[in-house]
Amino acid sequence: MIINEQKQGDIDIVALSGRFVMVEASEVRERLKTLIDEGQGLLVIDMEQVTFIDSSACAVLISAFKAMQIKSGRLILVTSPMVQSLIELTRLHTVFEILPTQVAALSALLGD
Amino acid sequence: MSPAIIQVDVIIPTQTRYLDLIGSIGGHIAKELDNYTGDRTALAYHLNLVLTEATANAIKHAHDKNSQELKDTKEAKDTVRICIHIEDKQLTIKVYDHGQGFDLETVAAPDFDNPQDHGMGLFFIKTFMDSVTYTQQADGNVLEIIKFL
Repeated sequence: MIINEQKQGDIDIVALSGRFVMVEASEVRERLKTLIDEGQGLLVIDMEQVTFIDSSACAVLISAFKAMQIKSGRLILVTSPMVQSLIELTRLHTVFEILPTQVAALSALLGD
Repeated sequence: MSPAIIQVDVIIPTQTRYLDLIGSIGGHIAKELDNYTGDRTALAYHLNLVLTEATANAIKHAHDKNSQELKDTKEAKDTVRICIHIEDKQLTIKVYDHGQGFDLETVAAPDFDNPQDHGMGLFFIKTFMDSVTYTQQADGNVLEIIKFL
């Protein structure tokens, strides 16, 4: 899996691509934790290019969501159709703020 | 012509880096099934996910037990065996492990109102497959998963 971090103003963006599974979960969890701890409370996790996720990936997303809640920040997910189907199966779509593109997520966080 | 039988039997070390390999076998099997009329893309994803989750579960439990046993006996059972058998529109997956085991009936369903960062693997397996059983035996445990095709 490829993990690409960017910053746009106060917004941290983590773009993931490929398979997001148990092998990568620890690294992604740590990088998200660092970004949430040190960031300004605005984070986009872009999974539009993620081709496969498992329960470990869902666990990482839940951890990030809870960490951002403690910080009273805002976390937006960008999902591929495949990711979205599993997110909906676990009803996490009722918890997460999800938008279809990174542009839409950035616009939402910038208040456009 | 007799119906095709597919049998796959794999033994891997209890290391998560083999999960992609095991999952991909499920994806390939979905493409090879004769006379399957359902959504092959969905089946490929589901088999990939179920094999990944079942094997990850076996690896995790093996490590739970081995970490303690290693201190005492130095005799870790450090492999997981995965068997896949397809015959007569029934796909059976058996995952054998040497961990401490668990009671499938007492595994709680995910709390969707207050999501936790664990417990979703078995939920995925139960959701996408038709039957799931877990049997603990003296010489190891077996998670048996059945999908009617």
